[in-house]
Amino acid sequence: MTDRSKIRNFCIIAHIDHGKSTLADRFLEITGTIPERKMVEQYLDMLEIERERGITIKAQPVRMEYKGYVLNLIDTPGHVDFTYEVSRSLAACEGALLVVDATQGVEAQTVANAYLAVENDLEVIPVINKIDLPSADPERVKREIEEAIGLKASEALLASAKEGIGIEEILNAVIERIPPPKGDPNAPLRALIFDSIYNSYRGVITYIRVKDGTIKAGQKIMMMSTGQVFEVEEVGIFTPGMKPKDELGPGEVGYVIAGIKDLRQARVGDTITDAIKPAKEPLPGYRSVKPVVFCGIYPVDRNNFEDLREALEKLKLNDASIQFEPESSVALGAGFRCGFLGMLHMEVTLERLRREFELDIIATTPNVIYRVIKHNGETLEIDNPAKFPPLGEIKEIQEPFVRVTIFTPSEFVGNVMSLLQDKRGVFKSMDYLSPERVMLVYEVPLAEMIIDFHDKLKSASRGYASMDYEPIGYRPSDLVKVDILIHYEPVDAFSFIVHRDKAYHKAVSLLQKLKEIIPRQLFEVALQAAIGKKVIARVNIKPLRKDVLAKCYGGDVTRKKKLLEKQKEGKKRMKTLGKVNVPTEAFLALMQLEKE
Amino acid sequence: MIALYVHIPFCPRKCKYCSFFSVPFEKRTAQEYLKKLFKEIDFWKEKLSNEMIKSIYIGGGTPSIYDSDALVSLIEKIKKSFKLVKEAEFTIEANPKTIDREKLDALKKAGVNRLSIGIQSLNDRLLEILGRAHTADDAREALNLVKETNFKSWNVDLIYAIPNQTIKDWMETLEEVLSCSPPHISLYSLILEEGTVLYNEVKEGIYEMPEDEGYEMFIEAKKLLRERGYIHYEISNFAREGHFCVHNITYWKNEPYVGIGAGASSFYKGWRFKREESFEGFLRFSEVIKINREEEIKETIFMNLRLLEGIDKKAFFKRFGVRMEEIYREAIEELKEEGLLEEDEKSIRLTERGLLLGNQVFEKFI
Repeated sequence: MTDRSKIRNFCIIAHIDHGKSTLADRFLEITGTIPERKMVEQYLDMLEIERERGITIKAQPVRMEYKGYVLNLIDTPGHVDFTYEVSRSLAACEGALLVVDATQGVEAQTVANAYLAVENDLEVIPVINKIDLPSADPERVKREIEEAIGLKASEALLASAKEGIGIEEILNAVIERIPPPKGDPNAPLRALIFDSIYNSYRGVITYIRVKDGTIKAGQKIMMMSTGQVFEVEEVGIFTPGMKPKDELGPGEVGYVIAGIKDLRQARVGDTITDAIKPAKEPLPGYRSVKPVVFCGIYPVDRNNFEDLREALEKLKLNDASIQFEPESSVALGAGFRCGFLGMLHMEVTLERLRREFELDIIATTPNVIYRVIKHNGETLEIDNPAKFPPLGEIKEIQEPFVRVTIFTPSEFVGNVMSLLQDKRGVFKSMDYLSPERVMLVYEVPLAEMIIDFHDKLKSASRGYASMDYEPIGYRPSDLVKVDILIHYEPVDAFSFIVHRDKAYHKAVSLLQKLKEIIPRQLFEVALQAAIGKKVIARVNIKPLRKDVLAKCYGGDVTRKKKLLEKQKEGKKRMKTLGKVNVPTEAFLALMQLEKE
Repeated sequence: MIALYVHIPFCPRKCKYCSFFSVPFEKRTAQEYLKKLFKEIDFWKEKLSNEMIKSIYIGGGTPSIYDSDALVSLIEKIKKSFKLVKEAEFTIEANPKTIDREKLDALKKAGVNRLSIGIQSLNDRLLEILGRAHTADDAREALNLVKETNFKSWNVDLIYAIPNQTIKDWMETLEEVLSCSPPHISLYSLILEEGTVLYNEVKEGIYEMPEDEGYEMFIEAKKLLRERGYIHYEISNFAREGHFCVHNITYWKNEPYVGIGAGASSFYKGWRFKREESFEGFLRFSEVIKINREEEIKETIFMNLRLLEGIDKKAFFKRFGVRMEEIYREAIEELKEEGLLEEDEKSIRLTERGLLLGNQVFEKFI
């Protein structure tokens, strides 16, 4: 067991691109944990897709030894979709480095996570990074840290992770300023699960931070939220590879392998205790995470339904937060309704299905969970617009709202405010952090945020604004369900929920978009949008009247055949709705529309 | 019996819509090319010693860009090397500004009995958009020259559905061409081919391809041609009785032909092959494909349906030993229901509507 007074557990809070991963790499080098030549650039970001997007989803901890101390660095996810995971990672630490880019300043995400750290009683050490850049302005950034987060910035450390400046000072500060972990080795075991991953050879590997007691191989342990009991096969630490140890005691960070088969049995935030001598109280803060964004996922080729199911099951092994259940759409056949923690989570999952499993899939436009109160008093929670009850039965529709905090340079305040206005946002407050930077708070329906709010915010502010949001519950809204009819047949996959004031405009734009995407057919095709039985918009696709290759290129029949084959191949990739061939891109039209 | 095609890849300049293998004429290259053609003719001479040639087609490019002596020597070489059936159809393609009385007379005298002239349009504005190397007046002059030479048969190529073309433009060109009463006339809807200058111009938004106008133009043209006694015998081709193009019918019936010259395609003894589209390598074959019976059936159907007489059920059965209406019953019924195909005891053919929607029909048999 490691001497508690020699342990420091900490994490890094930073906005994307502010240099978290580079800083972590420097720590690994300087502590000799990974020799320089073996460094894969930014070791901690492992998943390929995450690396490409410059984001980390899964936290990968590492144990370093420095000047006789054990330093456990717990990496945190860097995106608003994963706030809960961040909070659990923070709960495993006594301190946090708050890394701010000296050229950019404080961003919304950083502030939100810094608040989380303060709430968790962490010692927060501000680090101003990238001071080597000519445009660095550490003094301004210090003022912002004081203004926005309320931390004393005079103690902020100056560094350049890229150039290796100030790294030792940071590690010294970790040792000096972050308190050693508390905990009683003789008390019943309490260990916090801050992550868990699935390994096809070893089953679930659970990442833990021991708070009280000890954990070792052979011990019977219990998950306090479910009461499920497992026998520990192995415990160990991350160096950063997994290295078995006899036991882990209070303050230590490591892993447990205990014959767990399913990630749902080792949920982030849960407390592991001793099955024979259990603790009375679990560690605080556990909640089960519920998806907030839903979409339908369907195989383009109906025969690939089982492949899709298998792929989703495999993904779920690695990501307990994905939810899915079979559903069937009149238009798209059999597929799954899938729930995600947020838009990014959804996009990454879709990308993995396409890339890692090589599946040809259609994803319908994402939506939130609506709450429908019927005249008979019944309340329904609806995750699919196609499942809305008939108009006449609905008394009230409620939708989830979030409180959005936005940091923007003051010159873009006008743009950002009109964007929020457009998104049905309700103004709450505006504060000047400095003459150049403003913090805006709005309450906005989540549905307006999930598609491309982030991109729009970026373009409204030339990339400078940042945002964070938190749920604030359901509120009634004047919402309607718009159905799309293709050649007089409603196509469930195109139905959408929208505020009444926006219904007509959105319906017309969608029909126009569909008209561009759906090729001419042998007959005239009517596209209609309807609320209940009332048609609110219509466009027609003129019939195809002429389609024939004119010339035979000097007897080049092969070329002609190839053209016809290509045409036929194109049709195979379309869905036949009634008699109308609809390209799969059409199902993304609604989403594209939002992005324009 | 087979058909013989000879490709001449030279033009005064490349038209903006053209995706054929052709390059601007350059005297020395053209002379060397002719030598290579002679060699290739020698190559085929023995191989085809047991074949009767029913038609010869010298196409391009612009074959008429060569001078009379060169063309006559090529014609003589072909006649000497292969066995031609009596009164074999012998076509050569020509473009305005590359012909004069003397050249046409020499061709006729050498044995050419069918001339195909690429007029495309008699509207200067549209010729400009197409990037043709001649004016409307040049085209008129060429038309008259061809008419006066009195070939046994001759053809005019026209293009419609050109960006900025009105129905009036189109019908004026057609009327004027018909006033010379060519025995054969081909109407090609402009097809945008990737990689051409026009393709890029349309993509950049400089021109817009007409959509429904093309349909109207074809319907109107067809009406007029029928009134004037032309028979619509293939999707894009009209002719007076006795002037159907023997050579092209070979392609449409998917019967054997041999192509000589750079980029020329052949279908011979169950193989499809193509000469490379280059000068260095044109004696090499590319795309050599053995056509099995199944493929041959597919190709025969989609080519033969182009002819208005359609697919002769008996001939089909005789050739393949199966009945088309048995292997493709479902597709045929579906297309009949759509009003694209019609069928009687003798044949299966495109309807009037089907002629314009050929691709929608053909793909069902691929």
